[in-house]
Amino acid sequence: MNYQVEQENAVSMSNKIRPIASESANSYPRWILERAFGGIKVADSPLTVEDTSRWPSGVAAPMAKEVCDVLANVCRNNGDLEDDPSCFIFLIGGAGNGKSRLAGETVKKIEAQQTGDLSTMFAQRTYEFSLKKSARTLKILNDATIPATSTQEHPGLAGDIAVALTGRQHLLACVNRGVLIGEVNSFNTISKSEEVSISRQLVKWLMSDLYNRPPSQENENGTYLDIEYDNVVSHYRFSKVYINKNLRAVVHVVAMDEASQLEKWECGSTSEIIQQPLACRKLIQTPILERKFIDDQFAMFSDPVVNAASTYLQSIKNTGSIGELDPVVANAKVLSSKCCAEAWCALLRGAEIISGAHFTYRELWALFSHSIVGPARVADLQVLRKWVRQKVEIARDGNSTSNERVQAWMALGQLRLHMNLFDAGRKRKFDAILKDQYEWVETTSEALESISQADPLRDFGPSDGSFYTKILDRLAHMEEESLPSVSLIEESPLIKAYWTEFDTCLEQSIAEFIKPTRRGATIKERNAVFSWYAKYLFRLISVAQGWPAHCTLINEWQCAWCEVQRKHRLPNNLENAILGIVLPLDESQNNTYFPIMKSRVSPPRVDDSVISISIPRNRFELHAEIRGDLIVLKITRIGNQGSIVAETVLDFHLLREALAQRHGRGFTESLAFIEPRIERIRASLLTSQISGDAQHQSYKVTHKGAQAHFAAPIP
Amino acid sequence: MAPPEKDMSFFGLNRPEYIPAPEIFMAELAWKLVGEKVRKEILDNGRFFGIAYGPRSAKRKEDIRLTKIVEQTDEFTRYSRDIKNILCLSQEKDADIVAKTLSEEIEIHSSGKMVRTVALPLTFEAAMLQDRYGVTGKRAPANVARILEQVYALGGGEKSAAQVWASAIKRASGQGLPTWVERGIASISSGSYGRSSTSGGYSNRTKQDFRQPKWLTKENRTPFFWFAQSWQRLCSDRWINAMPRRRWTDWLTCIARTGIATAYLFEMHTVYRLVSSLASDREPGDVLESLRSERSRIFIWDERKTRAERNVSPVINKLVSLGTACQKFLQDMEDVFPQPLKYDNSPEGLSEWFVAARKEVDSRPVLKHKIAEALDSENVTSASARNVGEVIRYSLRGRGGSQMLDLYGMLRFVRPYTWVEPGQEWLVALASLCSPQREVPARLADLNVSLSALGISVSSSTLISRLETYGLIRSSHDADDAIEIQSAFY
Repeated sequence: MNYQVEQENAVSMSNKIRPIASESANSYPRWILERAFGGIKVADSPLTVEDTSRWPSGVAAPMAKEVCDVLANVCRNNGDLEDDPSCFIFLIGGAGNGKSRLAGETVKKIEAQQTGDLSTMFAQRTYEFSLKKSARTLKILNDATIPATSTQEHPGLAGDIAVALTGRQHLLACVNRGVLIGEVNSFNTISKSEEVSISRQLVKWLMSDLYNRPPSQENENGTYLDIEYDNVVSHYRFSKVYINKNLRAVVHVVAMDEASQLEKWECGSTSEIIQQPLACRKLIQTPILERKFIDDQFAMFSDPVVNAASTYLQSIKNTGSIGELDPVVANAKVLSSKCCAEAWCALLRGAEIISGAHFTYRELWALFSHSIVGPARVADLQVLRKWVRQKVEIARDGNSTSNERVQAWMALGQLRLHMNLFDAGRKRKFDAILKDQYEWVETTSEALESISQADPLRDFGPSDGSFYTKILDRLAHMEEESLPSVSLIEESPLIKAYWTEFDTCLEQSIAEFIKPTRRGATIKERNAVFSWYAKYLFRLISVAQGWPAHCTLINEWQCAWCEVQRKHRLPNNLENAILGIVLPLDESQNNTYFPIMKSRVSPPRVDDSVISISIPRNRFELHAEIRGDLIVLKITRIGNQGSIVAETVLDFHLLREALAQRHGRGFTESLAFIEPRIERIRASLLTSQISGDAQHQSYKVTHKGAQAHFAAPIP
Repeated sequence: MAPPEKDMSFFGLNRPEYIPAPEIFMAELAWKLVGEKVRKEILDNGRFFGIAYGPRSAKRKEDIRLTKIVEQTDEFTRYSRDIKNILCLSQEKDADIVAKTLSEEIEIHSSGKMVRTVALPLTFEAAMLQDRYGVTGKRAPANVARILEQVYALGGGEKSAAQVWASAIKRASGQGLPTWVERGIASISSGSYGRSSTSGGYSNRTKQDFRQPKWLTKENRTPFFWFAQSWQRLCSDRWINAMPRRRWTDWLTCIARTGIATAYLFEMHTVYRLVSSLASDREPGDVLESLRSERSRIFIWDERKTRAERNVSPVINKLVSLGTACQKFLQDMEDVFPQPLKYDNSPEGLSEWFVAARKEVDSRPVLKHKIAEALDSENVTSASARNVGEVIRYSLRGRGGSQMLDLYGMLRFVRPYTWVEPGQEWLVALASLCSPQREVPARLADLNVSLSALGISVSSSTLISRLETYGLIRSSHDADDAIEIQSAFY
């Protein structure tokens, strides 16, 4: 199982051997880079969680801390006897979601003593701990991608579980989903061991949410998996393992990657009863246009952002600062404000929804760092600080020319949070107007790619366009020395919270430069500067307001999620629009026909010579369900025991296309993203219709203008 | 046919020839099962020498039997009457429309240069509406069924490729293709041949006819293994019942053409590297290790590079000409070097052959000069090399008048460059078949194993962006190789 070595392994060593560089007044504090992209503290192991870190702890995924607390309670319990059922906790998800951190915190809480091989500093597959108040041991499986020791009789995760069952150990397993897939695919042989066979069933059940086929409960010799709590929500499940009719383990499973840290979830309390499922915390989604950032919290990640930004701001001040005219200071100040942090989270949430991605903790902290200091490396921070000081001097120097001053302000403006996020480190076309901007190293990451899709310059603000028009209007008056910010700050408390002294100086400098009465700049130069400022202002307002690109569509998607969570179905008009994409009506607008022998399944054109079959919409039903952060659409065939014919995710692109069709606006660029999926869904529906009852089959054959309609012969 | 007693090749593959339509793979598998006797009867015992579906040019070869039923003939009247009865139609006019459309719908021409068309092998009978003689117009074309079976056997496939395919189609009757269409196609077949082409049933030939070197079957990153595994998976009920028969047939054809082409590329690379290393001082272990490592990255697929940088034509040309030259060298030296065939039963056979062959080279210094001469002949392209090159190039390139219409090609060609840019369905099929069970997703790591088996090294960013576009994965940052790939069909 060596196909992947989690980043944890590589990095956990670095944690121990590379101390945080000492801070100096010549450099921006460097600790912010510990969690930047590729930083040295992006990963934890159960043995390396620090209490003294300057980084605030984020909130663990819903139910994750609760189930770990259950384990901690069991392990600290005086009365924990060997015959009592073991407590198994499975934290499932990709790297960077905080599994190892949580494991580390749980170990600390239990105050357990590590046993076994203590000699190595490298990350290990498993760690074993003796418990203070019990003769039992706790096994932590931290990284199932590291191969098991050759002494283990049965390889893989199922082997680890079997060992824990046999040894009556408690178990906390951090499992990457890829491990589950590989494991299930490797179950080729039958094991005679009860423990191994039930462990395999358990592994199948762990991954059953991936393919919707819960394993059947087997009951040989009284060994079975009793699934008590499942399918209510997908991020928490509970079961019990019985061997020879004896309860041997209670199992709590938490999917760590199903809830977005940029949303909220219900609060709850920890249960003391270990043999019962916990009360589950439901996910909450707040549409971004309904968020009142001034009043409330909507993103779990906003508090850690505020705390980390405040600490960083203080660090900069401690090392000598030129104040808010320094864009890095302005960035830290902005994110230390609760409402700005909330808006920043909303923008990132939009990026998640557009790209269909899920930001892990690791990525969120990297984006935080990127927002404040750009894609800087440790050596850059000193250079950057010096560069900023020089530029600020030029910008404020009365002896500098107007052109020099505006150039300095614009170069500094490129370092503001709302410019960093979308521009810093990205490969872009040469911008002639920016003559001396800071030279970042080109940086690419999936997270930054996602963010770029939410760039407000692609699509600004709510779709009614009123705000867009208003800003254009304010910008139009800038040449008349009417600064757009004055009225915008008055009207919007969010813009006011985001606006800094730096932005004021920048705006004044721009206004002065583009003044028609001023000599020394051509119209082309003025226009270029004005154009750059318009870009700056649109982005600033979007980040301040929490408006990613396509924010109205994103809002609609979130409303649809809420509706599905409440009613277990999509709004009618959306459902019809999606069916309209999948099953478009023919020219008579009465029926849908698909060709049965063409290489692609798409509605035939009128002049095609083709044999096609009718796909009646009323033979299929569209169901929607929430799976964590996703809206999953399932198409079932009526009268076929509700069997699922096709499944897909209602993502941003499908919603966008459906809404465009609903409003009769033709198609959008999202069509290219959904076309392959839609074509395959059509192929599945076609297969289902062909293979279904002959009495429901109706064919149309067209040949050079002639047509024949007939029903399938009944066998 | 039993394996030959003398064979200087490593894999026992017949020399191939340009394959004008990949559909003839299935045609030949069907004929292989039905037997030569039936074919001869259908060919009127010598009046015709081959079978094709329809004509594409005015020049008709009178000695090739065309199976497409032409309108306004007695055959068409009978066929239309069959359709009328099958569908219980009341009007002859409707039956005519259906009959004409069906006979046209199953007709395709895979490349612009084809002079005769083929019928889509959607059913066993449809596959038998042509054979390799009729489609190529040659009296002695390469035996593609044997090649396919040999590749399948080298990959450790169960039973035979023909049997697995035929029984899948038989079991799936009524799934993915309406039963009345199956019956309609059978009517075309029986009308053309004046008899049922499958009335005699078919035989149960097994893979024991083919070479299966033990040193090869233990390797899972070879095109042979990939082909056998994908073929078996796709021929399972779960797959054939989950998709329209046309799609299933296209996927199967895609696997066949990709498997055959990459198998020859693999052969060329192996023989070239082994023979050229005989003259070197490298340790046998090192030679075999670098052989394994190199063959997983014969092609680089990286969309960030320019077409010129991605051009694979020189790689194909070089491997084919040098590989063929080295194979000929071995053939010429059959009295000097041991036969690879003799080492088939040893799990370390390749290494043992290399050690034995090296011993010969060491004992006769003149052989080093002869090897050098063979390698120098790379620029002299032999007919054999040309044939192998054509098979590789044309099987992997997108076909058809407009290349973009072929969604199953692996390479794209715009003169003067040929580069790796798989068609949409090529990647969808390949990715979906990575998982042993259709319902269980595969991982990016599994897909990378398949790609490296085919000699393709791909950058993650390229692969992920393609898979996202095709709707097979959802972004899952940080998951790396564990990114889940959903099956194309539920």
